[in-house]
Amino acid sequence: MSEALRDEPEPELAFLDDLDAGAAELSAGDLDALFADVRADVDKSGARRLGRLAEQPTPRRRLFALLCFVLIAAGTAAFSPRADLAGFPPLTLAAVVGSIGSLLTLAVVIAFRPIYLPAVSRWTKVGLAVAAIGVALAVALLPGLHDHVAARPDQALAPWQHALPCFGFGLLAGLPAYALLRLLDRGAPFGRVLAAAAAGLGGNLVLELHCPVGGPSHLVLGHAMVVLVFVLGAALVERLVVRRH
Amino acid sequence: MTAKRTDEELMLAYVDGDQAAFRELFERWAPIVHGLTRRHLRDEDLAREVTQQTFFKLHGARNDFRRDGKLRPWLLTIAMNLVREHWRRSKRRQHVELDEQREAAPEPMRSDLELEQRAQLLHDALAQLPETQREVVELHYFQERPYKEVAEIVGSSEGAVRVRAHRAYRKLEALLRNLAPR
Repeated sequence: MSEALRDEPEPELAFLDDLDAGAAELSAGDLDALFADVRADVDKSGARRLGRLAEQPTPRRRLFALLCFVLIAAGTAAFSPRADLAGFPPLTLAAVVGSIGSLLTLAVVIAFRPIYLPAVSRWTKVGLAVAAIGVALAVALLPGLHDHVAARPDQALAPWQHALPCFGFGLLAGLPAYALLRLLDRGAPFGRVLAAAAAGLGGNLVLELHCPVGGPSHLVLGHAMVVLVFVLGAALVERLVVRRH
Repeated sequence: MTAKRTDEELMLAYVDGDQAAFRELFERWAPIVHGLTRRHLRDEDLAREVTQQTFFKLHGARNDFRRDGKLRPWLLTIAMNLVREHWRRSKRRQHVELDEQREAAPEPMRSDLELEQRAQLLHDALAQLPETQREVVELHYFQERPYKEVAEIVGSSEGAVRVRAHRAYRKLEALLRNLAPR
């Protein structure tokens, strides 16, 4: 065994080589068979046109994902803005958009971390998904963020009734982003949960730009719940997939 | 006569569409990746599956490969990440049946059977190391990577990797002393 690359030659460890000498090696036939399997996987993935999105360089994948969120949010602000958007205090708006946007960006960056780099710990990813739910709840519940709102929930309706349209709208806004993120994903562990966290935050951001209704029950059930449902749904699917393998 | 292409030249050729370059890379690296995964997983079928996945992932990430990049850390990191992912998903480690090893009577000459048993002994000892120490031994000793590169691959500092390796080697020596057939 060459010592040239060793930082500390440890000749007394030669017994490891000695012990490893009897391990089974791949024969030429094994190599051919294994390569045929790799080739089949490669050909299969190449046959799917949309599957090739994941083969784009990583900076481009991240850019596509973030652009999708920017387009959805900008489209909402331009074509379906909340009635009181002009009266939204700029600093408050910046705090809301900034906190959601920065966490969303972080989720995209970590979700698309290439497999040839050391993996980010599972707990960091779990923490990020939990933080996404936390930020959505904070935006809904922190006092002062929604003091300016133009409308209050209709008291004649049960909380879930006035929250349901917003909840559905948020899910619909997040779904295309989630689908794109999954297409851009290369099968990274926990990727679907981080994609869901980002999509949920995207839906939440859209609601902040679209819905003028305030009140904690509406904001939690109609807005923050979007992130929760995305994350829990994806975590459940992730668990089922892990169990299947 | 043409000079043998480097790993990086082959990879760049593959990125540019040279399919034969991928085959050449595979022939060069598959046995190494297979040895690495086999020592970690202690299962021949799984080792082959992870080797296959490693090259499939390499194919998927090929457009990230930079002109000034190095292929070896890429491949080894992919393989190590897949091994770790396997452990996470299976949530189990194979328990070592030490008694069987102790009962195995060595022959005086180094027959194939003895070599196989000795390799098994090493696998058993490696399996008793914590995952973080095992991957450092794998990369530093068996793959002959310097500590700096091992640190890059496992995503830790060089100092921490040196400490891990030192502890692992001392533990391996002790384990093998205890496991060796008497």
